[in-house]
Amino acid sequence: MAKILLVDDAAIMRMMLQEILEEAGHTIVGEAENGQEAFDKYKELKPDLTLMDITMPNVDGIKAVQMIKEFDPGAKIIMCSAMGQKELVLKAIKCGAKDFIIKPFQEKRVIEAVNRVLGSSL
Amino acid sequence: MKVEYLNAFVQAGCEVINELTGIEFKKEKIFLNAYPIPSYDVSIIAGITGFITGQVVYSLQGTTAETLVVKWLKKINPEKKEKLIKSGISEISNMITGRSTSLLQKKNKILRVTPPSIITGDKFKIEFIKLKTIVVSMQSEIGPLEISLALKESEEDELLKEESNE
Repeated sequence: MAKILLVDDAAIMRMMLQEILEEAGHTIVGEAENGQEAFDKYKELKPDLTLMDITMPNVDGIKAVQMIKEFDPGAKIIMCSAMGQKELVLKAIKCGAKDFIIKPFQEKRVIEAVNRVLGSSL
Repeated sequence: MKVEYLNAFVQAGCEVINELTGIEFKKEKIFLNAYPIPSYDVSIIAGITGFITGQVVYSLQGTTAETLVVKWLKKINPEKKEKLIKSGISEISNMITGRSTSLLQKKNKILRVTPPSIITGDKFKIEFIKLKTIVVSMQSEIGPLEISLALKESEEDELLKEESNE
């Protein structure tokens, strides 16, 4: 199963995602509370997949995706945000995110997105 | 301030809370305030930038905040209860603001939201510079929720339009 990095400034969301993903057999290798921390942890931990919030202090999730994709073009990142505006989803995808989960989410939506992205060779 | 802004926040508030907890909130009254003086002891503040700019403040009783988070999580670790309630109510407000921006979205334009800040206690006043505040009071079986909106149209949208077309 996959090594996953969770990025969200809300402790409650990291906790919920951890429970869902560990239940599905994945390992949470690290957590970050903002985009800069996400980039630093990504370089250190080299996760198979990153779940990334957008609205965070200092460096936001869109900027973090750009930083990570520049460092590792093959990085697999799924956005997980309350901000579901079409233009923002398109921007995230354009920056290299593979999927976009809008909060509040259903557990099965998270599992489906993670399995799809981990299974893809893109 | 346009009535559509108000309607978006009321709709988003009702929908998000109902989806997460099953609790129904209903709009009770709307009034104007010179300043958004929160009525209750837990307040969450978020900023909005883009073609609409300003601030939103959610205010509710501590017991209402706790009930919402407990109903959302279904179970809660007693040792982490206080931290999770603060984080949970901030995240619920973030989801309401996020859903509102989706309801207000426009082609080629992006609304951005600042991370929510939470304030507890009732001895403070938040002043929004040069923006009148509309307050929506909502009621539910677990207590009231007040949403204060100080929003206006902005000229920033052209900049964000360019950004969204990068």
